[in-house]
Amino acid sequence: MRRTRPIRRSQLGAALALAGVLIGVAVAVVLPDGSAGPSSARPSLPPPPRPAFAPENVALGPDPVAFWAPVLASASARVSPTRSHVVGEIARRTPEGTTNLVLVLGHAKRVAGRLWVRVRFPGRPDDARGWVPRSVLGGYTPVRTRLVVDRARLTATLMRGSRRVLRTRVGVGTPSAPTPSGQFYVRNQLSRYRSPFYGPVAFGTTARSPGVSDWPAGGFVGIHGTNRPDLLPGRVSHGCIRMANEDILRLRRVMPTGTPLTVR
Amino acid sequence: MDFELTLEAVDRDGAIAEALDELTGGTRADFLRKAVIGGSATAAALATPAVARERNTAKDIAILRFDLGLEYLQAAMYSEAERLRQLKPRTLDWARVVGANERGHVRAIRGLLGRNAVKSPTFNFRGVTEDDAVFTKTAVAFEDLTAALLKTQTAQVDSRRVLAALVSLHSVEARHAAWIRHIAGIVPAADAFDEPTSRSRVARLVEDTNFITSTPRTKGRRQPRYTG
Amino acid sequence: MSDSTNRPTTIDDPLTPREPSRQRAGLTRVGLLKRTAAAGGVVTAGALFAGGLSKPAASQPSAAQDERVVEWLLQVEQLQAGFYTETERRGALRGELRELTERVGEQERAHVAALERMLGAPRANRPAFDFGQATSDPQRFLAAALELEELALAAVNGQVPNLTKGRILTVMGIASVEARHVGWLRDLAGRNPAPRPADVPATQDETRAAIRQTGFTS
Repeated sequence: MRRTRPIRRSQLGAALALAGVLIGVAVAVVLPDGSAGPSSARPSLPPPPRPAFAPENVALGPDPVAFWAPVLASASARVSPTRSHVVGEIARRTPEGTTNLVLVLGHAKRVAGRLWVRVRFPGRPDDARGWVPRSVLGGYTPVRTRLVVDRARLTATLMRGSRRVLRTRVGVGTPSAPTPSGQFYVRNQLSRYRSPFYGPVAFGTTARSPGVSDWPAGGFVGIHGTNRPDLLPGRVSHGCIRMANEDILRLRRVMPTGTPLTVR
Repeated sequence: MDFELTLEAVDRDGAIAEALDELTGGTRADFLRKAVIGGSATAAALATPAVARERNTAKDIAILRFDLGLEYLQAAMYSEAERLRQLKPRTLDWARVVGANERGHVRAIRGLLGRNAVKSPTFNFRGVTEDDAVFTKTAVAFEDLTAALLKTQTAQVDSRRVLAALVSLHSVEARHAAWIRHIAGIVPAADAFDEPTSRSRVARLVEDTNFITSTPRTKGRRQPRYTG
Repeated sequence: MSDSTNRPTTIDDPLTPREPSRQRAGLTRVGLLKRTAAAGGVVTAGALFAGGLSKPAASQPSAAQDERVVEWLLQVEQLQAGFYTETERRGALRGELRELTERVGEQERAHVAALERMLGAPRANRPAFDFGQATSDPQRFLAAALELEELALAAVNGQVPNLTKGRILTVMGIASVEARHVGWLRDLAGRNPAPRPADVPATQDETRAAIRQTGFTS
């Protein structure tokens, strides 16, 4: 059977008003430190329940290798936000019909109310750099992998941080149609097409072979499988980087879009 | 003096059962309550820790999923700002500290929701993470609104433990809000009482930012025309 | 006078303050169980009944408990309001600290008034505090304000789960502002305003101990 509180609020107030005396009852003027009053030794209020989750701070890991962004609207890249000299055109779509990408270089500047950002995009002999309005780009995605192709050793190595994730032997361009050296990036991936020449998967890069001109669809260098693994490793292609079909499938599992490509 | 007892008899307020749930994944607590303390079965069961699964009500799950979405957004925005390093030093410091808090919130809520968790949307922050003035204004809006939303939710949740968790998060968001306002030169605490806000109000702010975007299409099926 | 209505009798001594440590690694039953399990050992009843078991059963919210909670929070807010009121009266601070004193003081006084309204009548008596130099010296003011706001926030957070749903929003509205005060003061003091992703609530006993530590109530 519950016992109700013996002194009701209004009665207490009236009593105080009449008596004009401080009453050391737990209800009225107990000091917040729990002292002052013979009945301060009353049961404490219940403690709060244990929370259903208890977060910890999460620090960001090491910086990604790069950020890429899709191109939402084709744009002319300028040499700087304040100078209108154009250094290149950036298309909205790739020749393969996928969304074009740029690498984001991490510099932003507001000029006359408009935000401009510095990006890397396909160029010759390798990637070009310039400024575009931020509004022509989509969201930024970080990339932690990078692919290094060594034309002397005929190898392709995928790195994640300092860790080697994959290494394989490759075919590269012939002397008259060489795989160009420099900095590029992977910007799309094709599959489920019917062409054993390219193997099961083909990646598009921003590299263009200097020995190849008037090539339909821009003449971009791909990284793909092959129906002639017997030619690998070797200098056998029109600039593309070829690998055995099982290797290109392995690569697909570990190399996301936007991965920077260095060709030595 | 030692004597044999069952847990049920000893565990009046469920504290032990709670601990056992945490250790054994909740499936064996019932069995153990009946088991005799000191038996080898008890010791064996206690020796294998597992993660407890909260059985949350549908309402609590909905509330937590909405919170998770908001935390995803804030965590992603502040993380990107930290990476790009285009903000002023004080703002960048704020993004770093607060980002760590929000990433922690994401992880914790996901952990609680388990398979009921939602995936993160794709975001386009449209330059907000690269411009100090715009970032600051946006952060003020989000922190103020998140604190307001959490108030509403504490009055709605079914579970007292989820309530306690939301209470602990709510005041941290209010700290964030006061801090970024101070950085921005606005009064950190404008009113004596902060008002709650509705989920739809928050959804509208998110919509207005246009941050949530579709995933870009970078894969195709066309015949390759690379140089070969 | 004791209020034994809300809590069943337990083997615990209800007046023993709970361990302040969040880890509860000591003599609580939970901690004992975990340590025993980790050691691969067997829990004996004797050990479970050992002293220092101080986790009183959680009570369900009720109107009666709401009243106790509000009375308690009123005491905490009165301490803060008193601090800022005296600081403003003494008029020794300048610049942002002065602005803070006026604004935050107004807000704490509003909290006191709101809590009194919830109880039905203004308090006839206001306790007296001795703040010493903390209400005039800028450095001491900042340290004291921080101490008071942090303990007030923890106190309010600790009581929200004890409230009925109808009272939660009002008290959360107060908690939010206390947290803003903390954020503001910490930034002013050059300290990290948000060192943890979740705030740790305090029990009534923990807050009482924290208040005793300030020395303002002795």
